[in-house]
Amino acid sequence: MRVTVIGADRPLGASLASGLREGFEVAAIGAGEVADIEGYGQVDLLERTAMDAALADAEAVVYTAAFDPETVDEQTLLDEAARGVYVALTAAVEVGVRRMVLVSRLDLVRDYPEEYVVNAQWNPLPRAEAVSLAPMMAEMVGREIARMGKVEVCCLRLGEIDAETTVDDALEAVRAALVEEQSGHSWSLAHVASSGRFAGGRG
Amino acid sequence: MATVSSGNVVLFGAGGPVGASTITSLKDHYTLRVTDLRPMEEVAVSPPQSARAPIPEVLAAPHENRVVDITDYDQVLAACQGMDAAIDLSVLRPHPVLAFHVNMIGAYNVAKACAACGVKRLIHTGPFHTSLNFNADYWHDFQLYDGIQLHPGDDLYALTKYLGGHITRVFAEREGLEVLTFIFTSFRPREVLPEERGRGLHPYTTSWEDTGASLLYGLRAPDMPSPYEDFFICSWLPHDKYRPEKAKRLLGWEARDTFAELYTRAD
Repeated sequence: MRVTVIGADRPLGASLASGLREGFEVAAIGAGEVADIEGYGQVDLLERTAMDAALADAEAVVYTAAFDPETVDEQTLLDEAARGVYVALTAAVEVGVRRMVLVSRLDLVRDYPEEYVVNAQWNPLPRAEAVSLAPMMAEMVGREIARMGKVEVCCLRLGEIDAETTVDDALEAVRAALVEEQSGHSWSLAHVASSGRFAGGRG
Repeated sequence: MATVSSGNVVLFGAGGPVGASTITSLKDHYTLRVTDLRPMEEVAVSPPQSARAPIPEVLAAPHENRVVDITDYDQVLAACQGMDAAIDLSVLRPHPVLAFHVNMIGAYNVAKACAACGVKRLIHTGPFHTSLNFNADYWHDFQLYDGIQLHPGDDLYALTKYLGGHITRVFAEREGLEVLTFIFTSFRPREVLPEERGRGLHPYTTSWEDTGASLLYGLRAPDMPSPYEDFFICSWLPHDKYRPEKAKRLLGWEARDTFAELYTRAD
């Protein structure tokens, strides 16, 4: 399967792109000029024409750019999160990609009381600040476009890398999401935690 | 108490026909800060957005007219200072970049500024795209009540306003700002022309005049049951497709115009 990893210039995207090379034919792209991964290509992730070309040969996409964005500017955070997924997904649909794995953050449910057993069936509880809202914007764009039935979007919420979700577990979850049969819905959502309060299954 | 019976109200994106109706409805009850990306004097001499759509009147003191770019937080913050309520009518439809900036980031800027300035009530507005050509768009459903989760699909306008609406919801739930979201679809004038009789109408329709009135009711309504409430703002039509029940129950607003002449045979 030819998989394009978007956001490979960021730490998580680079790790996933490297790891997925075992078993998949991986293209690694991102907004940054350079990345510590062989064959990396810089692409304007917010520009449809560029993304159409970048995804032309892809069979599946792993979108990690919203997980660990470089910017701290509030408006840019929101814009890149929402518009980035919008551009990638609409381009993916256009070129015939059937599945996207969207990497999001467990932070969206972190503000529930510690004693609650929180899984993906709980409503996101972001704070009223851009850094917290941005992953929800990315997820909503993914969910609403998936609802149209033209592309499957598997959203994986990861915790802090190494502290809460290991790269190996993230990689395993992404691999599974790329190949698993879908349940009949075009959108799916799972939590991926190796330790801590969210560990104990992908529910 | 979030009810705003008098005082200062800022309007964002007031240069369109909804802004025109809102200005007409509110100008005698509140001191308005009327803002738009374009000077209101320029808006007032521009052609109407559509045939028979109202054009905003330029208000004199004590009201104020101000150019505000809603994508610029500092401008939005300055516009919210000293205000009791804010009404966000801003919208940008087709542009692949600016739609996100105006409809989503603009909503963030307004909600954040309202929270920072202690604005009591924010009325946010957005569209219900009733037919988007996919199975989950509700087009083939009936008896839909306010509060249903909209499904904007990949429609740029619908999706970006949807995102902006959810941002205001989070501010309401987390920051104590009371947000009322008014959802619109199809507007038309109150007056039915002779040649229009019996021609039918969109099942989610609101007159410009009722639209303006709904915003007055929104400001004056008592505290809401929850910090975020969304409302269908439309006429209750015999199609029974959309039921604006909550607006009547919580705002006391009901459309005056029910357009019987449009859906009744003319002969």
